[in-house]
Amino acid sequence: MLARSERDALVAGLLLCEAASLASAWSGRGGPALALHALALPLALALARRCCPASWPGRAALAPTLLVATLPAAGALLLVLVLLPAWRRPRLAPGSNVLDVGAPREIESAPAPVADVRGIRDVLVSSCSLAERLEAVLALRRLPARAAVPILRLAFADRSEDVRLLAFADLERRESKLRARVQELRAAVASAELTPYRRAHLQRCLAQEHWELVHGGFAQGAVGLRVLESAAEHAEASLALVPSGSAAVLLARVALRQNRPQTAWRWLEQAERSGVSPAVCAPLFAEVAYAQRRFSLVGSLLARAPLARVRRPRLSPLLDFWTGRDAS
Amino acid sequence: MRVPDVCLLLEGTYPFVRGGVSSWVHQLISGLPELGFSLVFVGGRRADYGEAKYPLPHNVVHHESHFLEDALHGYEPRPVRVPAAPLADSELLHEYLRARGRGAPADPLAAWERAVDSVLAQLERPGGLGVQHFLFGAEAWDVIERRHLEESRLSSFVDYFWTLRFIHAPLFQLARIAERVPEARSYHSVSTGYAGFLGALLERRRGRPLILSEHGIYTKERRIDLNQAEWLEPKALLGAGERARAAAVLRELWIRSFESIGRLVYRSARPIISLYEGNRARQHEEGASPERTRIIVNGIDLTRFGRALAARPPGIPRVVGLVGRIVPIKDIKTFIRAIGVLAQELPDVVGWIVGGSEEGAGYEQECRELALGLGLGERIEFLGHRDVVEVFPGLGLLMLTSISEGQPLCLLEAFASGVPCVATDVGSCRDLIEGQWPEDRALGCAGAVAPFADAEALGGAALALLSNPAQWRACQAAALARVQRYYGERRMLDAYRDVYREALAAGWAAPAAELAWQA
Repeated sequence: MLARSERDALVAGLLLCEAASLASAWSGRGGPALALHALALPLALALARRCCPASWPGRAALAPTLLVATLPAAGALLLVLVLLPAWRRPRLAPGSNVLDVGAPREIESAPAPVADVRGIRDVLVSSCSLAERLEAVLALRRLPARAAVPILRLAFADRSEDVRLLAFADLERRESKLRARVQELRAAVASAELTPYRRAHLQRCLAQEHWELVHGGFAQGAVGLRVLESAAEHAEASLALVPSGSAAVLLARVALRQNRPQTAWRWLEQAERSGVSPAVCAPLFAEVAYAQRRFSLVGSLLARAPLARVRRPRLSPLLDFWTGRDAS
Repeated sequence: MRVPDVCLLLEGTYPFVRGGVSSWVHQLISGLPELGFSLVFVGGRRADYGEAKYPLPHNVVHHESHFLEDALHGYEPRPVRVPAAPLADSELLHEYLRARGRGAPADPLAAWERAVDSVLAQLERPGGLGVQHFLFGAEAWDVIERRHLEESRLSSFVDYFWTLRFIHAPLFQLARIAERVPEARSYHSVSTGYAGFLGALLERRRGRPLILSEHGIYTKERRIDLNQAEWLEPKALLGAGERARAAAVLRELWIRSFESIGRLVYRSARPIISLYEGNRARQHEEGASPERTRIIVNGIDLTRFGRALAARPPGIPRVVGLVGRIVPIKDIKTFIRAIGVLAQELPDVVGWIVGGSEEGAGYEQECRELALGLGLGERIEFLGHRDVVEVFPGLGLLMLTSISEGQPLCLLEAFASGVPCVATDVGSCRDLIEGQWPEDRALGCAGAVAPFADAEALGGAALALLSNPAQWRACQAAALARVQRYYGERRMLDAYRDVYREALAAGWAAPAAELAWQA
């Protein structure tokens, strides 16, 4: 609250007066020493008043305190008495702390955050409250694209333009981010000075981002097919440089989406040879078998994936159905 | 120097940005040469605005620009004492704004009315609140601290403090601008927001009428912007839930500030003009008094577009055009997809995108890639800025895929050029295509309306028109009849001439706020 130049002038004046006072006292000239000290006191008072916040309870008592502060014993005692309430005064009301503060009025009156996909969908479809539906669309931001995009598209039919615009903006934001990432990776791959490992990594990332464009629902129909081809090209380019199980798994996913189950099967076999866990491969093998209508294989393939149940709890009912464990 | 009849208050539009609102402003000034205009432009960052995109008409006698990025610059911290009376009025004003102008008992309402007048009249004036008080006054700090504890404890104090500074500092800047803006006989803001706030200040200080025209609804647009703003989420907190809750508090502060500014502007302006009934209803929801609102529809120069009609070739060109800036709100991607749908049935169809992308080159790149991805590289042409009078004769259909619109001029221009339209069901597009009143609807349908972001529906509607010459001609006839009867420039200019005449007749009164203070 105090301009720096003003404060510096006060401090300089104060130090000068006190130094001169001390020098006078040292040389045995009591009168000038006392006069200089008296001159320093108003400067100290001005400095203290301006540096202390207006809300400090001891502010009013500063002047008398400083006037008598030079007295032996009584001065020190008075100083302590004045400063003590300020030190003891809590910043917040007694008992309050960071953890138990309530929500502000706006938040308390606002609808509670919507927790999961089904809840968000229900609110969007059935709630009459515009605030709740807006909150539901906002809640989608925290969900991955593959879960959020279908609901965002559902929100396009909302009766409120605000909801529709918000949903559209979120969709655009997600798509732009993905496409910007693709551009960045393409530029990086175009660089000539890359080690094979680095180039393979970038190609794998590019394949993954292309896959996300389709998997998230941003590229559909003819564009989707074209993007899938790009994903496969980049993944194969990565594999040609450095053997990688994850690139082979991605190629299997792409092939499945392209309705080429035999190719997908071959990529999954290669992924297994590269050391990819059965927990990852077995459900995909089962999916390929299902696509090939070899239903008798599905159960046994899934049974090879004990860890799938742990890693993907939502697969459990499916696993139980195909492995016959739900018969009991 | 002649005192301008009308001072136009413009935020982020004319003359630096192309678009519907800017074209309308240019048309208004050029169409009323008997009136002198001055322009006060308010923008965010200097760097976002280059050269003027429109030549200023001869009846513009003054033009000045201000940028809100300067709001917090050039202040050295120094101790100031905040005067008690304006601070108390400011607190009352904030109470009024928090109550959102509703449900107030009579007495407090009177006090609030006085507080609103007092704060607006005295901001940055001797005896009133100034930016130094707000930035460096201990009493202002105490108020901010108290408000944070009362209302916004879920956000960090630092975030809350700086949010309040960024919200309020431009208002003080606008108050200083209001002191320097040259005299005018009336003020006309083309939005609420910052330009509208400047208008509210001028209305009180100069005692001149304030006219408000809204093409879109500013408060709604800011609400959408803020709801998608990622910069509001504090980076320091770890949990996503905590971040979201803290962002919600800050977002609410910003939204409330724009709502408040909107209500202050609605309270100061008369008349409050919108383009169509939907937006008028929205203005009422946002706090505009119904007796102050009125509708003046857009109008276009029928003679100019008559030339485009005369230049039309025989037959129906297999060209579908989109006229608009290449920005996400126009949803150019859906246009491209719709051309893809259309191309499956009409292999010779071509899509023209007429408009620039100065606001989003990245988005244009995405659109080009999408066109390539769909195998439409040859069919989609990005023409950039063009004189639409030269473009319309080559179009068989205009398609508007926007996700938000007011009353799009390009639709009216296409009608006058004899081009039927397929548009998304946003803004007043349905009214324009299908007609508003019974006698208007009796003219027939000037095209088709489809849900937004639905390429199949838009493409299907376009296909139905392009492949059925009889229906296409009926739509063309309805379009021409509708635009000639209801949307001529003369009607619009006459309506605004009347508005200005009323305003100028009511003008030159002593400033209302000064009278209140004298009393």
